[in-house]
Amino acid sequence: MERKSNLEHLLAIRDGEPVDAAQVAAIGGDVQAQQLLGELTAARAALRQLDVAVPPSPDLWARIEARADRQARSRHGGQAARWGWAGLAAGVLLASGVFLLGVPESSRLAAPDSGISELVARSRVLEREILQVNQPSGSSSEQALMFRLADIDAELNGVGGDAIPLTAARRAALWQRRVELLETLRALQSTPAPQVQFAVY
Amino acid sequence: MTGFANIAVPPEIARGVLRGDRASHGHFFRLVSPRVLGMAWRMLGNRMAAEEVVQDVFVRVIENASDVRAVEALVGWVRSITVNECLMRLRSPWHQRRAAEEPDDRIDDLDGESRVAGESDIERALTLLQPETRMVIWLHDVEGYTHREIGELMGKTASFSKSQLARGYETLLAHWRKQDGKKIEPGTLACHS
Repeated sequence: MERKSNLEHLLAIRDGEPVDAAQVAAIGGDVQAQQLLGELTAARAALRQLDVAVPPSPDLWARIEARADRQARSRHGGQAARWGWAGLAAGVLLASGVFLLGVPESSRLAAPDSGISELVARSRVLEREILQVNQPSGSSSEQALMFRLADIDAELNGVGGDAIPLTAARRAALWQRRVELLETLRALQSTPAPQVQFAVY
Repeated sequence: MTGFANIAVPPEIARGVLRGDRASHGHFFRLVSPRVLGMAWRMLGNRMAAEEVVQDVFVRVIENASDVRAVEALVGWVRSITVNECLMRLRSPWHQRRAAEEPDDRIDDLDGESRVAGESDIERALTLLQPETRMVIWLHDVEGYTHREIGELMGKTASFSKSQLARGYETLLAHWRKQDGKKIEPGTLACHS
């Protein structure tokens, strides 16, 4: 009788999960399977050695505090205040279908390296595509995305007294995130709600 | 103990975080953020994206930690937010395109990190995996998630998690053996007798 002991079974044995007793017994007499089981155990041990703690950038905590403070102020001042610097109220924006994100032209053009330029260009394309949606849903997910975009734009524009000078890497990360959020927003607007998996920020 | 289970947060710090005390938030960030960053970097393969995850996670800590009922649950809560943030990014079209076009940043390029023999081989092999497969391996074998939990997280089944784990190990072992000069082709690791 042929017996097949695949990786899934060996991994189950390695991990102490319930397996068929006959399979365990069969592996006991299979040198190749035992060797493989040993390798799987060694590989897991090696993986656990890769579990490293990586120090974050020195200014990351300051950025997190600044963002949390900005968000707290906007909650206390009402949602419109969050968009105030951009001259737009979220409610109006959602109701009108006008999507104008608040990164001034000067900031858009201040893209010294090609990586950021590409992201800026992608942002523009996505904004144009989103603008073509006549009936924004106004859903809480959509609003949450827009608020996160507003936070990113505020940081890109150095808005607020707590603004921290942006490093080139941080600026690139923000543009990158902006593109991601716009792509998610576009997907949200073009897909029936139940089919979209989305975690609110 | 591996993963987030390694993190020891003094109870007074955890209580302060739950109270909304900003100084405690800072202490908590210093204790926990290196693990959050390490895990996010390992899952996403990109430091900038991983630092964004850290930022989103700790803004959530500042805003919502008071909803956590017990100090003992705090680190687990942070871990689950981190995993969800990583998953969300893995699903984003932008990340999928980046992953297809750019090589991963490797954590072993960091200065001053302790490395052990053979470790960089498996690190290299990890970067060869599809992001979703890598995430399953990491959550299961390092963070101790069960297949059922991983399946639920990813909106799939426990069987999906099991098959991804096996697929991932097939690649890892093949790469590892190749390093030793024993060439193993994908698909040949299932043993027959």
